Amino acid sequence: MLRIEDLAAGYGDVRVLRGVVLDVGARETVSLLGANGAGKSTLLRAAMGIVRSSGGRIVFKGEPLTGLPANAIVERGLVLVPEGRALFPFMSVLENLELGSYSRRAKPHRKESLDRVFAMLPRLKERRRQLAGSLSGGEQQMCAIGRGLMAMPDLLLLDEPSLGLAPVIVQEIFTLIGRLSAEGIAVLLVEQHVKRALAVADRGYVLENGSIATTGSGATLLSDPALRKAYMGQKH
Amino acid sequence: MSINFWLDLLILTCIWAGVAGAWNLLAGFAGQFSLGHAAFFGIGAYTPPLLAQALGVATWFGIAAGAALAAALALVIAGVSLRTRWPFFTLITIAFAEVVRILAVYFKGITKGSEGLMLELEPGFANYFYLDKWPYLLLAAIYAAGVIWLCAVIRRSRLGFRLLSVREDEDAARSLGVPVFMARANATMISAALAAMGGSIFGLYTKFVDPDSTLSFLLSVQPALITIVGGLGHALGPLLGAALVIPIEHLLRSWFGGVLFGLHGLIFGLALIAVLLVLPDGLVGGLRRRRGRQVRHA
Amino acid sequence: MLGQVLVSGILVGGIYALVAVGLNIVFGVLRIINFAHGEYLMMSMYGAYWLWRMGIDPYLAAFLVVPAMALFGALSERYLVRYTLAAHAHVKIFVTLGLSIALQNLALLLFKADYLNVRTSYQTSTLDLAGFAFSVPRLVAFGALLVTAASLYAFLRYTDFGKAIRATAQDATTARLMGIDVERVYMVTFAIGAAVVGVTGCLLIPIYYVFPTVGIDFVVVAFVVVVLGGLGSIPGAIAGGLLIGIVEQFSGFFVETSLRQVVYFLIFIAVLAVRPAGLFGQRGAEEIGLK
Repeated sequence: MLRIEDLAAGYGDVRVLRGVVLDVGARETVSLLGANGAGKSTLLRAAMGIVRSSGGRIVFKGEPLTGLPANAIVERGLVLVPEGRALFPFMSVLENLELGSYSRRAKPHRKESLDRVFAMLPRLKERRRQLAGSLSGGEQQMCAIGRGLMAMPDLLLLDEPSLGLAPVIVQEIFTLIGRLSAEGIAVLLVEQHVKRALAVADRGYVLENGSIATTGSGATLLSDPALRKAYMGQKH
Repeated sequence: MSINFWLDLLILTCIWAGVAGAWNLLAGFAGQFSLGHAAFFGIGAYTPPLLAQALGVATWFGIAAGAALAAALALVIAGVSLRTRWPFFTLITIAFAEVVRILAVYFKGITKGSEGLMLELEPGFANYFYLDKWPYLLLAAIYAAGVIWLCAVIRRSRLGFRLLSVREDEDAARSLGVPVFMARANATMISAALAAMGGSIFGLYTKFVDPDSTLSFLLSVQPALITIVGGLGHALGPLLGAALVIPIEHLLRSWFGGVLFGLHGLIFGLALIAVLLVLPDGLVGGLRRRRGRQVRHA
Repeated sequence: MLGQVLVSGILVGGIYALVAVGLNIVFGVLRIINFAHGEYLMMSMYGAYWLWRMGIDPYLAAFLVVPAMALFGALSERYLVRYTLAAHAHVKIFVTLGLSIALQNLALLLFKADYLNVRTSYQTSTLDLAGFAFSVPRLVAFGALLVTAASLYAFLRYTDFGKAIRATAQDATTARLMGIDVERVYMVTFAIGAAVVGVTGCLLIPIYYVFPTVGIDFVVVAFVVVVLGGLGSIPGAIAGGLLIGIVEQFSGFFVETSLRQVVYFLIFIAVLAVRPAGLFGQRGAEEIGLK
């Protein structure tokens, strides 16, 4: 569904990514792991066209995305839930969700999408009149994922959804991610919680210094001694 | 064209190179874009003749007093804008300059209002009052050179580094212990005092001071335009800018001024836009980039 | 007597509020201070004036002037302001300033410095209500303010595109991730700002003279209003406009007309020094934008 070939990208003169090769199939859940600063977020942002890629190709559903602005990419069914939630703080939860379905692709189905999101995340329904900025961290993350789902993604990119959340909430978030493939949505997940991320994923990639170091199924990666040493020493 | 025409052109170019240099100190080094330098310029222009009339003191004393007064106003501006960030500093400077202009028009008893003041001083060095143009060229050239030299010195000084760090990232500078307010206040005061000196020389040279020619909003835009054309933040930018802008303005005014009222301003505005879009780093930046490219090619 | 001053203060303030609303929405969304905003008002007034010379009532002229101004606003965003959005701060400030200077002088070149005004049947008529005299054109202007502000507010609050504008004001990058065409939002926002000023110009021409620098008189007050009311806030702009109108009319008692602007500027400076977010603005909202 998403195929990234030999991607190079960065900010200004700083090259963050080079020679990145990665693919995600339909309904597949794939985890992207790596230390801080390895370039995971940059990879997602490059896929969305927020960071300009300087080489390589990004192909989504057989169509090259290079040079398209993020709003055009969203129309094609590739959707990012950005790091740090990035809700619109002075707008209500409901307005945030409605904006999720702003694209021409999603707008006609807003009503059903909203029902579906409220069914999956009932707490958002209770809080729908509240300003998004006044939600708790966990609720904000739910709202951000809900907003992403409103866009009717074929592939949802999740950037560190568990960042800074209490363990109970983290568990909830991962349960939710696990349910997405049943809804027919492919997921590319960037995470620090390596074990959980690999448990929920079909496959994983490890990004190191801007390129892919290892790839394989969740179980293989979990038992890879190099990976264990590099990334799991500090995290459980 | 007569020698006087060229002298006039040179004197004005030097004066404006200096005033623009003063503006550049604040805008280019500290990142504070003032659109109120007309206030300092005007204070500089008015103070020497007013003091000479009221107290009979020599012009030199008036120039110093004007610079001090402008610096005092600058301190107030810096204090008021302490908690604001871009673009409010710009708006505050506009407001202060307008207040000064309105008051200058209003207090007719002192300033003769919009009628303006004719300067009639005892000729000689004490008042720096001459009928000839040459002495003014000397003074204006010394002034311009002095401002540019001072800017170059400040740029390399501790104050210069502080200003640059505040310009790049105010919060980071603050957290590293840079006294942000002091650095800014100092830059604003020095800039104001220098601009006032330019105003004094302008007033002495033209021998006529009125709100239109020394306090109008366009005079606040003028140093900005000159610096941007020359190269914002470069010590030599204002000189280069003035050498280009002032002669062109002069010619435009002498060609069209009397006939097509407004054409000169229209070109002024369009030129400002064009320079900003085509050469945002000004002539100095453009030249550097060019040289850089050639070096890289070689 | 004081009641009458209050009434005229509110009516004058309505005009200021309208000019400020246009300035404020553009600032809230694009973070650009449009120094040419006053010149948009000047253009609208000249437009209404020339249409009146051709026999069209200024209020009817709005139906031509407003779309024309919206178009001009959109074009100036698309072909000028857009190139400054990613540029240095000085480019942002001075490009619209250059546009302002160019437009003023173009008007001077075309129409000379003469003060022009229209003559209509309703211009000097007043309405007596509850013992107060209401000038008819000012009352019309005030009514139009309420309608314009309310419809703009409703547009931003309840329509999808309005929500997209607010989202862009709060976080342009995330807005793009929602599928919002941010460039289009910028262009439409500029068009709205110019259209509101187009309405103002048509309402103002029966009350006020038009001349090349007329915009300055109003935009200067609008800056004060925007700062007073809080950046990006439409209700704040209206409250600020009315407040300044009232202050202006009352200060007419105590200080001379020529010093009136000094009063505004002192208020402006005082507000920025004490409470940079504005009297009605939320703290921190100057970073966040449109409400």
